[in-house]
Amino acid sequence: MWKDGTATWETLTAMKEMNMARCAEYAERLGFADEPAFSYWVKFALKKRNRLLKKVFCRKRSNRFKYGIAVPRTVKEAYALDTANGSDFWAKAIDKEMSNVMVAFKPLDLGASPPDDYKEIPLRLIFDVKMDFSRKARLVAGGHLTDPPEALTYSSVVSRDSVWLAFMLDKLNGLDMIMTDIGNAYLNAEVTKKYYAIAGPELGELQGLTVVIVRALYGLKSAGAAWNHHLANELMQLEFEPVPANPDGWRRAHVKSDGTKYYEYVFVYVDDLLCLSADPVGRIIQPLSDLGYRCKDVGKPTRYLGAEIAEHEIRGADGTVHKFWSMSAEQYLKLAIQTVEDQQGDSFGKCRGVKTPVESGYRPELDETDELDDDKAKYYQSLIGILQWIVELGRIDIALEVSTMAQFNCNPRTGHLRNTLRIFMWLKGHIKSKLVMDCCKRDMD
Amino acid sequence: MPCPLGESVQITVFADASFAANMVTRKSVTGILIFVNGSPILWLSKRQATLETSTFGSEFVALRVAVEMVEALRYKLRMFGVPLDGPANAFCDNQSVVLNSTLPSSTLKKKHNSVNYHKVRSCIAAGTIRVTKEPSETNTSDLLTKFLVVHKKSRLSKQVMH
Repeated sequence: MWKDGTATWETLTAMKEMNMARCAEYAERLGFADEPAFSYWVKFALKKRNRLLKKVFCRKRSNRFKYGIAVPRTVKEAYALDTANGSDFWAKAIDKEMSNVMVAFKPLDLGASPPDDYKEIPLRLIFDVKMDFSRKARLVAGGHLTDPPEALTYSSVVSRDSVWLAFMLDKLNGLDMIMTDIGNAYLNAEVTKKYYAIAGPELGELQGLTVVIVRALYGLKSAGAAWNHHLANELMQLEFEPVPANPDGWRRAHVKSDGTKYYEYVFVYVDDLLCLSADPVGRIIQPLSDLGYRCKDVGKPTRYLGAEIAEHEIRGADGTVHKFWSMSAEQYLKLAIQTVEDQQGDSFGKCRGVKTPVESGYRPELDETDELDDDKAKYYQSLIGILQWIVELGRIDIALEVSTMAQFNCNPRTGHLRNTLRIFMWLKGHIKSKLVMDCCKRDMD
Repeated sequence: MPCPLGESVQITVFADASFAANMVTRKSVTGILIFVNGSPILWLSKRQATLETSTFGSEFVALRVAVEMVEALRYKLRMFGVPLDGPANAFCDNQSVVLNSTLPSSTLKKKHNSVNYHKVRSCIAAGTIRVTKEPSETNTSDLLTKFLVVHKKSRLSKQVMH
């Protein structure tokens, strides 16, 4: 039936081609979806439609509350919230960020037009509440409105196994290890592209003036690369050499006070620095501070990418105690298990004390239980994601279980979900396992 | 190439495969665990891409992957300036793989098997690695290839984790 009232017969293929979802709905409604010509595609078409629709509805604005604290979206809102609460948390957060970020701007005279080849870019403040409930503001530039540069844009990071190696090498050569992160790291780097902005209320006395951006603001597309390049130059000045085949590892030869030669290392993870040396504070942190970096939280490593780092003692056969670095995912695990428990309620608690991560004799590929619906499938995928990260953090003992269950990520069944939850239950009983970076050689018999 | 300084390190590799573990596709699973001195640095548990028709074949695939990982790791350690202590010790629980890779004679017909064979052989000849047999009772990489029963799992886990 066409708009002008005429009716013709069209082939099903043509209709399907034109609007598959509506065709499927029609068949479903009139109850002939099980006919041979329909049964093989209607179910999938409807499933796909639901998924697409859900994706569209998901695109709503993110939550405005975090840990029960209202989070503002604009500067005005932030000040309004402060007045309403009679506090100055947000104002302080803004002041702190702005005092750090001011170096990035060079104001022009009032009324002066920006240079021709400069581009305008919007600025805005992003607000967040941190884990310890302190308020944080971060000025970002609207980098999404600029053209991407041709070259590398991100800041590269050191690979995970290099860091694990570093923990071992540290104890092997009797060195000290210090971790630090560099405050407002990106602002140390000069920007290569030409941008200007009109200052908003957050810039205080500069409001309304045109400012030229001279440092790599967070949010600029090339900011990560600019920072990486900047730090590399400074490290080179300190006579560090890049380690080939290992981006963001740096090495420098040095002689200990007792005459033994060794290498000092610096590993860079964006703005986190891991320093190995006989005297890391004096030989690495101090020179970096002298170059104008703000080194925060200088100390022995305690966390790396969510894994806890600690010193683990092992008593040798002869009674001497050796200290090695150890990594455990305990805190991350606790958080993950807590979340899963909250979502699952009683059913999780009932299965306490499971002996193995998956049911004994379970063959996930032979599982013929019902397929999960979209919500549950999504939940399953998120659980697998969490587990895969846990394996990365050093839980080798569940590596096989996780990689096997991950094979069913695209079409999980009830049995798969049950066994994935069981992995969490098992982890609950084995929460303390950790990897120890033992540097003693093994006895090869 | 930097001049090696400091204490030397030794690489130990455990490689294993569970032949035709997947009951639907009959593909095998590779499990590899690499220690540098006493520290577990790299691990891998992955279903194999090719369909092997024998335990020997699937173990050889695992060993070849392990050899390639060791080559990369040795290069990385060299670049760090860490002295290497002889070839890496590889433990593999299939007797015929060990024999085949240590004695230079081969009767392999399949192309990818023969590639695996020559890769492992050339690394042994170059002194990158040496292969010995480890009974599967104590082969730690069993942890990465099979769903184990309780006591074996905890026994093997203890070799890796504290």
